[in-house]
Amino acid sequence: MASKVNQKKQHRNIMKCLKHLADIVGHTCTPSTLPTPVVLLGNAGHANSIGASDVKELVGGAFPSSYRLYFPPNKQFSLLFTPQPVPTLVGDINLQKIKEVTLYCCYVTESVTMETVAASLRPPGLHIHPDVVTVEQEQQMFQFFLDSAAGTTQEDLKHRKTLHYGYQFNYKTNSVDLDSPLSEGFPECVRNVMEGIRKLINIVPDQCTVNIYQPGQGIPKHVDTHSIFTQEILSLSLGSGVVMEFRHPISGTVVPVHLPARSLTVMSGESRYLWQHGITPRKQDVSEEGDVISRGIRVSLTLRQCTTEPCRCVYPSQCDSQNYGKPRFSVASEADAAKIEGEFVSDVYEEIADHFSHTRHSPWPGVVDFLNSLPSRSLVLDVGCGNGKYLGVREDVLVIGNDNSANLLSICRERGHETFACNALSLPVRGGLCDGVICIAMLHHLSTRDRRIRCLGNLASLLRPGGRCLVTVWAQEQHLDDGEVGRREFAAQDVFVDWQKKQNAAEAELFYRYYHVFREGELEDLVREVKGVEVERVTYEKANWCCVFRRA
Amino acid sequence: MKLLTHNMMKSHCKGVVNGFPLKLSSTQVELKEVEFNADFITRMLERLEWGALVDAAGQLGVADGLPEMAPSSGKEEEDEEDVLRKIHHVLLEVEITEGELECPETGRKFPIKNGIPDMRLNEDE
Repeated sequence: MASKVNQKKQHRNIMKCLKHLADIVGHTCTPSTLPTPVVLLGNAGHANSIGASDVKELVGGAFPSSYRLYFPPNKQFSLLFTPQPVPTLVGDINLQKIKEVTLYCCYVTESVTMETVAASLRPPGLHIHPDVVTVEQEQQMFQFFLDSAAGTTQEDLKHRKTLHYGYQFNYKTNSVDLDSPLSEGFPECVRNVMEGIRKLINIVPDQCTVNIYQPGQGIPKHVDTHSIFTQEILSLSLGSGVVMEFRHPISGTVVPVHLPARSLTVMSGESRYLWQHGITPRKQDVSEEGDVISRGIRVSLTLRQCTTEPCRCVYPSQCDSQNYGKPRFSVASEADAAKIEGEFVSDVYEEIADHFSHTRHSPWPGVVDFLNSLPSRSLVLDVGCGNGKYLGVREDVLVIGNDNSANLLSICRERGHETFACNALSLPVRGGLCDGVICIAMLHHLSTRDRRIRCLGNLASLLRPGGRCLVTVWAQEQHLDDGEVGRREFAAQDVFVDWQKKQNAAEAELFYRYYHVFREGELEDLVREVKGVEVERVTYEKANWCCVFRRA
Repeated sequence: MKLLTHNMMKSHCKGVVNGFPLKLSSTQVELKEVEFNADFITRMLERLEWGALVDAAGQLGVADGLPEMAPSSGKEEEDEEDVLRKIHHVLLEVEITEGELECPETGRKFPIKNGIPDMRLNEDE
């Protein structure tokens, strides 16, 4: 007999699991005192490292093949579906130990089915049609493609062999060249398949990519290019099934989906335009039913229809036709410049101030060194001081900060610093008062060369004769000093960089900040346009150009 | 806002010829202890506009003991440290937490909230 404490614990656990289940299926789920065909297994979930074999062992006897298990990904419960209610089931297994955790189970009142749970978890627009080809067709095509690939060399991809029909897919551009169709049309076996699936699809494929995956091979998560392919991407699995993972690019949620051999996967809507899909390189997968499945050689046929029409989807963040949701840079006047700097710098910093401050806590050695090089008892101005991380670096130097963001200055104030709010293009300060000035990661937010020079002029005029200023800006080339390759430089010099502000686990708001990233020598050239100052040194530090200049 | 900061600031409204000093009005003033250092005060002396400092201090009622003329550095004077300490107090330990700055030529007001003067101008100013 369960003690009162255990009963409470059980009730809490069950209610928590049912809440999660309700979130998945979209309606309330309640425990049933009468037996039903749906049994909730609390603490026997994917996140508890419990698998199908553990549950089957616990249920004991010969686990009927008509019983189905379902493990929602990353949850601390699983579901057992029986064709008819089994009155003894919960009584038999409740409160039993399963791999050192206590199983809490109950019947669920609502007629939840495995299909509805699985479908609710899948990205919208994803459909899996089982058995669209016969075993004979599968065998024939599988062998055909293995034979066709036997002679090819792998140039583009380290990990798997590929074949293309209709149009060659270019992995560098993730696109096809519609002006160069391949002379080979689709092989006969593919044309037969297309005839068979015609009723299931809404496109007429004219491009086919065949991927041959050895066990242990995969493909990184990606979204198929919007502008070149139409609204459905089809994938036929031959020879072996696989678990493909879909990832929501903003929330980061990952959903594993089992693609059985001989099934046709249709990706449309969100699953085609928003969610990324990929196959983790490994030799075994865990299915949604909690079984460990070893992979065999899998041949996948990706069928797509090409288009020249730009994409007009409602998922701009993944869409190349819509510049990935980023604003386009265009400055034709001072008013334009001010507008960009207002909308994509000032306003954004006000919105993200707290989040931004959390990520900016370690003072850079280069800046600290500069501050340490100033005479004791100096007066310094930090122009664009942000959250004030440099205002208290030296006890014997007074650093007064200014910034355009009231929210960031509040953070400085909380930390006991002296600040005022203003725009760096117009500093309300008498000239010639400062021993030092720092302007860290601020100049690159000005959108014209003229404004950048004016700002440098303002910085210079703050200095006493002999006073020194450190300016740092983002570099266009990102890895000049650490030998790391692979991270490309910024494609252009005027860019919008996104910032994700997570409201909660599921949603994030995206903001764009404007940057003008600097080429080598560019910062120096600008400083030389300012009268009365000399460049002392220019360095590259952690993807930033840094310049120290001195007032004569 | 400290009086040192006030002494450094001037109006940047368009067309202003002499925007210094900004007129000061305060509704809330706090005293904050700051460690005294004679060298720092001495270094600041020649950068200050003395008259404006005395006026601002007078407005806040903390001008007692401030000399009418800026002390000249380098001259050994009696009670020099006392004077420097007084100046230190006025420059760094008196903070206007709520108030207003006003451009002496255009009358444009700049609020001081939570100790932070907001000198941001609109695009057309």
